[in-house]
Amino acid sequence: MTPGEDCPHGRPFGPSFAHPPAAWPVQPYILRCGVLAAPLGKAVRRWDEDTLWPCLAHLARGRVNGPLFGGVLFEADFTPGGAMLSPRATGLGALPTAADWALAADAMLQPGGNAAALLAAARRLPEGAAVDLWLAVPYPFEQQADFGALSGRRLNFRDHPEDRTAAVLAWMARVSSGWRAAAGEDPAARVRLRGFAWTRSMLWPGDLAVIRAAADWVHQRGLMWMWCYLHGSDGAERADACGFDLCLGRPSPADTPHRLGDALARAGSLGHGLILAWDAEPTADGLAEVLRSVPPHQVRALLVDLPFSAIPRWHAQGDPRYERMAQWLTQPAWRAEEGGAGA
Amino acid sequence: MKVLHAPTEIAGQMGILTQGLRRRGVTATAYNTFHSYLGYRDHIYNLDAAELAVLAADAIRHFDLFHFHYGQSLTSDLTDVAEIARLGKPMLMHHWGNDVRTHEVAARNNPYVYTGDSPPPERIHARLTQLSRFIQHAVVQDEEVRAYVTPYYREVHVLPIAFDVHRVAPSYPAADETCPLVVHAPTNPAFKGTHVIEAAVEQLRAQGVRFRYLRVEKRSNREALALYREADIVVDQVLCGSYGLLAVEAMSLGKPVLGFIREDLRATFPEPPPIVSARPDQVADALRELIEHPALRIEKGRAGRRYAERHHASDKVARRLLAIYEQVVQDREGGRA
Repeated sequence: MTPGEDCPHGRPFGPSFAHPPAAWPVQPYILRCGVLAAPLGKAVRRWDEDTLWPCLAHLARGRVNGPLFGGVLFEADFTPGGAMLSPRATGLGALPTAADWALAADAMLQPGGNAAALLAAARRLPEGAAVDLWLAVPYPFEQQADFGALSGRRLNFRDHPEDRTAAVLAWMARVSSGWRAAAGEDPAARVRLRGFAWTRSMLWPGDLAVIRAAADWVHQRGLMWMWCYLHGSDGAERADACGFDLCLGRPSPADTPHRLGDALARAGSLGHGLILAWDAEPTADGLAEVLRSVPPHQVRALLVDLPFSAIPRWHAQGDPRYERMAQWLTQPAWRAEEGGAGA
Repeated sequence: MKVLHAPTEIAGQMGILTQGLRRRGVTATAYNTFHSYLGYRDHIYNLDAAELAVLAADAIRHFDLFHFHYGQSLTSDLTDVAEIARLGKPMLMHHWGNDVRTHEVAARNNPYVYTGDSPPPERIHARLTQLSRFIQHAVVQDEEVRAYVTPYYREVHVLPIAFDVHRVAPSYPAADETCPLVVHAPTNPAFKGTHVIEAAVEQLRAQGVRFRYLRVEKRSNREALALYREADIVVDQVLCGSYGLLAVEAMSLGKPVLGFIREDLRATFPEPPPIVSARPDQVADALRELIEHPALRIEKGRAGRRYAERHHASDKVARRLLAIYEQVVQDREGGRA
C-alpha cells in the first residue's frame, strides 16, 4: 500500500452502474479463478478474454447457448516472486509485504489485467446476462512483524493485531478504486463488483476483528462479504455473527462423491452454498459422478474450483467435460432457482 | 532443503526449532493444529486439522523433509506418511513423552510416574507399529522417552529441548530476599505432581517457613515467562523422573530449579543437570533448603543458566538437528530410511 490511496474509512464506495447491487440478484454459480501465480512452481496465472469467455458463456458448435458461470471469484494465490497471498498458500512461500499486496491488487485491475478481460468477455454475453465479480482478500498472516508501510506507518501484525485490519481495509479500498477506474461509468457494463471474499477456511479467533471490520466496510459500500470455508473447520455455525452475506462450504477431502449428500444437507441447513473443488483435474467419469451427486438447486450458491484454466482448455479441446459442466449448470431446475441467493 | 514441522506444537518446540533452522539457512516451516491457552504463534502457522488436510497435498510436494511431532502427521489416517514414503522423501517422528509413555515401561525405573494421560498401551503399540512401517528415525528429548520407542525405530536420536536462551537475560535470585517466591507452573498437574508440591508447600507453611508461593496456570507462554522472571525458586515436575520445558526456561532465567531426576538417568545427560533433585517424599526438605539458603539459590541459578546455554540454546540444538537431518537424508539416499 502506498500513501495517498483511498482512506479505508473514507467515503463510501458505490459501484458506478445504473443499478445498485440490490436490484441485481446474486448470481448463484461462481467460478474460482486463481490469479498471479500458482501454489507450486509459481507459474504465472492470468485470465484473458478468450479464456474467460467459455466460462461465462455456454458455447456449443460455434454458438452461444446462453450464460454459464454468472460469477467469478479472482483469488491471488502467490506473487510471482513466491510471496503468500491466499490462505491456501500458507507455509508454502515467503510472508508477503505491503508491496506484494499492492501488486496483487494492481495486477488484477491494470489495463489488460484480469478485470479488464472479464469486462471484455462479459460484453459478448447475450442481452440481459450479468456477471458478479468477487475478489478474495489477501490473508494477513498474524506472525508478520514487518509488513511494510501504510500511510507512512510501518505495520506490525504480530504485535499490533489492529494493523491487520488496517491492511485489509486499505487493500479493499485500493481494489475498489482500481475497479472504478477499470470499469468506468459504462451503464451497459455487464460486470458488477459484488463484493469481497474471505477465504481462510476456519474462523481463527485472531481473525474475528478483521472479519467484522471488513464486513462493516463492505456493507457501507453496498457490497457483499463472502466466506469460503471448509466443512469440519471451526465456525460455520457462527458465520452470520461475523457479517458474512454469503457463505460457501467446501466438503472435506474425505467427502467422497457418495458423501456429498451430507455436505449438501449441512450447507442447506445453514443456508449456505457449496464449494466443489478439485485439486487435480477430474476424469470425465469422476466429474460426472460428482455433478450427479449435487443437484445444484438445493443450495444457495455453488462455487466451482477447478485446476487453473481447466474449463477453457476443455472447451478448446472439445473435451466432453466442458459440455457436462455446462449441462449441469444450465439444467432447468437450477435455472428455475436463479436469483434465489438474493442480494 | 525445505523442512516442514507438523502438526503439534509442544512446549513451543516446533517454533523454536524452525527459527533455529532458519538462522542456519534452512527453509523451515511449521504447521500447528494443537491450540491451547499457552498461545504459541511465533514461527508457526496455526491451522485446524481440516485446513491442514487440504494443504497436505501441496505440502507433500513442496517440502523435502518432514519432521512430525507427537506421533501425528498431516492427516489423521497417516495416508500422507505413506505418500511421502512413496515419493522417497525423508521423515522423522519426534515423540514427546505422553504420546508413547506406557505405564509398564515407565514403572520399571520409577514408582512415582503418572501415565494417566497416555493413550492405552495397545493403542500406543499400534500407532508406533504403523508409523515405523514408513518412518525409520525418531527423535526424543532425553533417555527417559527413548525407552518407549527404541523397539520400534531403527534409530532414535536424542535432541535436547530447545530454548532461545540468549534472547532471555538472566535474572538471578536476590541474595537479600527474605521471603522468596516459589513458582510452579503445571500445564498438567497430575503429570507434574502438583499435589505433591502443594502438599510440601502447605507442610512448610505449617512449620512457619517464610516464603511466597505462586501457581501459574492458564497464562500464555509470554505472560508465564514474565512471572517466572519474578521467581526466586521454580519447581518443575517431581514424578516423571526427568525435566521439561519449565526447567529449561527457569534455568535460562537463572533461577534455581527443583525437580526429580531419576538416578539412573542422571549420567545420560551430557553433564549432570544442576537441578535440585528430590523424590516426592523429599520435596518439602529440598524446598526448605532452597528457601533458607539464598547463596544456594544463586549458585544453582548461575549453574542452571550455564547449563541451559551449553545444552538448550536453540542455535546449538538446531545445529544438532541439522546433523540428524543429514543422517536421515543420507540413509534415504542409501535406501535405508
